[in-house]
Amino acid sequence: MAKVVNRLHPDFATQSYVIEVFKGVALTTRQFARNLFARKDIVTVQYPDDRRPYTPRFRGKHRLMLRDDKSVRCVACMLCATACPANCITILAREVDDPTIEKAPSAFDIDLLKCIYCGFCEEACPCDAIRLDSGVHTIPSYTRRDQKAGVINLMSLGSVSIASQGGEHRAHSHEGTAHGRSSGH
Amino acid sequence: MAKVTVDGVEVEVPAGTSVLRAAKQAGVDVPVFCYHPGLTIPANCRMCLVDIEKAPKPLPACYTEVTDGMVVRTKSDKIKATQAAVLEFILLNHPVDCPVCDQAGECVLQEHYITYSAKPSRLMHDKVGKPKAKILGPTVVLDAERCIVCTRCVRFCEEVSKSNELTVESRGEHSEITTPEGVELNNPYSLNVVDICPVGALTSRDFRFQQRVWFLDMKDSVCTGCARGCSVRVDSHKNKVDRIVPRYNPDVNKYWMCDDGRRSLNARREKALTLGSVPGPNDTTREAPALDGLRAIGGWLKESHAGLGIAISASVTNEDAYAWARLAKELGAKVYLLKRAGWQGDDILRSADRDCNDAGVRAILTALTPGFGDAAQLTQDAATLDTLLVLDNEIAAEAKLVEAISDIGNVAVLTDLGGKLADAATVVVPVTQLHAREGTVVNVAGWVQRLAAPLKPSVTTVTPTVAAAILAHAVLGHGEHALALDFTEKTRAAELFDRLTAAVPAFAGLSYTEIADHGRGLPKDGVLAPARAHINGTPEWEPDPVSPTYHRPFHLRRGA
Repeated sequence: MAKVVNRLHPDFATQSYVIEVFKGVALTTRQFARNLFARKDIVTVQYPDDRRPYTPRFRGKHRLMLRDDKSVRCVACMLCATACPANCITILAREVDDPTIEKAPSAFDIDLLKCIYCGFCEEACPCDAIRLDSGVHTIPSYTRRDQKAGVINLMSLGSVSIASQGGEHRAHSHEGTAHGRSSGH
Repeated sequence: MAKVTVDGVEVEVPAGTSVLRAAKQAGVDVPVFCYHPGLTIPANCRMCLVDIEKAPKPLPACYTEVTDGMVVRTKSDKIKATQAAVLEFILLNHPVDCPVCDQAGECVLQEHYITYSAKPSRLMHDKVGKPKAKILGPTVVLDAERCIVCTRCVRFCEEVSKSNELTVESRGEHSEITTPEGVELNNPYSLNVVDICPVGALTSRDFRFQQRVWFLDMKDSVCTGCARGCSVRVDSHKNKVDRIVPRYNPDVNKYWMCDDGRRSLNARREKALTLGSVPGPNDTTREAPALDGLRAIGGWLKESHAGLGIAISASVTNEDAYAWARLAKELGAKVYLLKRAGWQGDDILRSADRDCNDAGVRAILTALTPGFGDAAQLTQDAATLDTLLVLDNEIAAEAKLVEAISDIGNVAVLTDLGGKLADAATVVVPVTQLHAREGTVVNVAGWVQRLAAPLKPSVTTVTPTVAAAILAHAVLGHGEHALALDFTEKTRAAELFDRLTAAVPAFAGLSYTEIADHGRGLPKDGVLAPARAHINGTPEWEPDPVSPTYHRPFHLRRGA
């Protein structure tokens, strides 16, 4: 439903703006004087020295979460790259020696200039490996190349995730044979 | 003939047809795992169970033969429950690790689960553990947990490659595909088991983890590994070919192709030339793009093209061979047909002749430049030649030939791969890589097929046809070359093929668009074999209800 807006009908004195201009200048001068002498009431946030708190769901720079042994949780399934509408994620997969892990990323690059911080990658991730909850929102750099965040960079913000990796009914080692292992992810 | 009613649709099929085939003809898809049209039928997966009137229990459609008046139902409640139950059993110990499974996106199990079951697992115990990433041989890796024991791979090794390397070990839920002690899966066709595996149990060691399949751009093309010319599909992403898989073609390769054909792309990836070489100052050579090389050759030819020899490999496309034959004719050059070194052929697919277009190039040269020589002739004639242009150096460069060529003053090689002849040449012109140029090739049985160009050509390379046009331009001068030859550097493969069919009697009557799908035979005694008929726009040849259909799970952007 449309919102009804009551139009103001100012009188001639207001419309001429002569008095209004002086009123405005008085307000500005008063605020200026207050900011100068009584600084506790200041409204402006002194960014970047002071910052407003971010909401918990703020989506900032990506981070890659870690397993208990501090290796990267990512299994290089590329579902984030598939979901990414900006096409900014490039992953190369590699084999791993650990028999419980099917594959791992050998490269995980996010082009931060292309990224639109929509969080689809986070939603698509089956492993809680990528998150945008680092709270980092300024990512300045002198070159464009520095805007390509690699796996080391992204892991440096990461922490150990408590999400279980591998599903409920893991395969178990059968009759003590050496080849039994849990499913890959 | 027998009249069969499948889901209310009546079809007439020859006696002895399976219910599955009859259903296909009626437009009804029956889900299968173990059935493969190129292999025998074990009916072990039970996915294709259908209701047949007067039969007490559901029967496997793949193995049951039709009888006259048979009434088949594939979508009754009973069958729906059966299919869901079969899938529940098949999925009982399946790890469901689709996110990290290479087959995801082209997985028959994934598709059938979504279509026929889509129910959560009721398993309350741990799943049975089996070997993961078990190396079966130099080409294939097995994930036994994902395997549904359909035995397609086992049957392939028994019936097609006849190498009997795979077998099923143990029983029940412990059944496992394995190789006998001391044997590894190592035959020239081993990678076909990866294609026919309906799940992600068998993966190719080359393609494993390289790319998720839904990113791939798929183009129909032809394998150029040998004279068989198997129909293939070239899968690429971001201007890189990731894999080559066989494409069903009843007239050439059926469902299969050999490992060397697939793996040829590895060598192409490593050795692809983007820069050639031209002589620099003071007897040096420098790296140079194609146009610099062609300018150097143009300089030689402008001076004199009296003792000119042009050697064409039997592996170039018909269009390129035609362009170069026209150029040779115009310049009065001696023409030689060079062959690649052969390999061990067999009676399955591999032809001992490795030149993918021997028949085509031979026919074109016979028509345009009769009396062309071969490698031995070239070795003999080398002393009399002043200039030699070699098109494509993937040839049997015997020491004798290389030595003879080194005596010739000006030798130029146009090639997409480095090699012995290129090393011996004065000028090397980089030719656009194979997967970036279109054209047609004729296989050993006279079957013409089209090559696709999924990749973008490198800007420093030219196609052989363009090179021929540029050389003609350099020698004959502006404007005249287009009159002397019937093509320019802007002529596309399709137009060249038209000119070729007009000029070469062996190709008479063929059209570029008609050979798009699965190709067409060269006319025999001037008569073109009738094309295979189409029914409702789809080819009438043997229906292939099970080869992965490659549904794309998402609407995905192409390339980037």
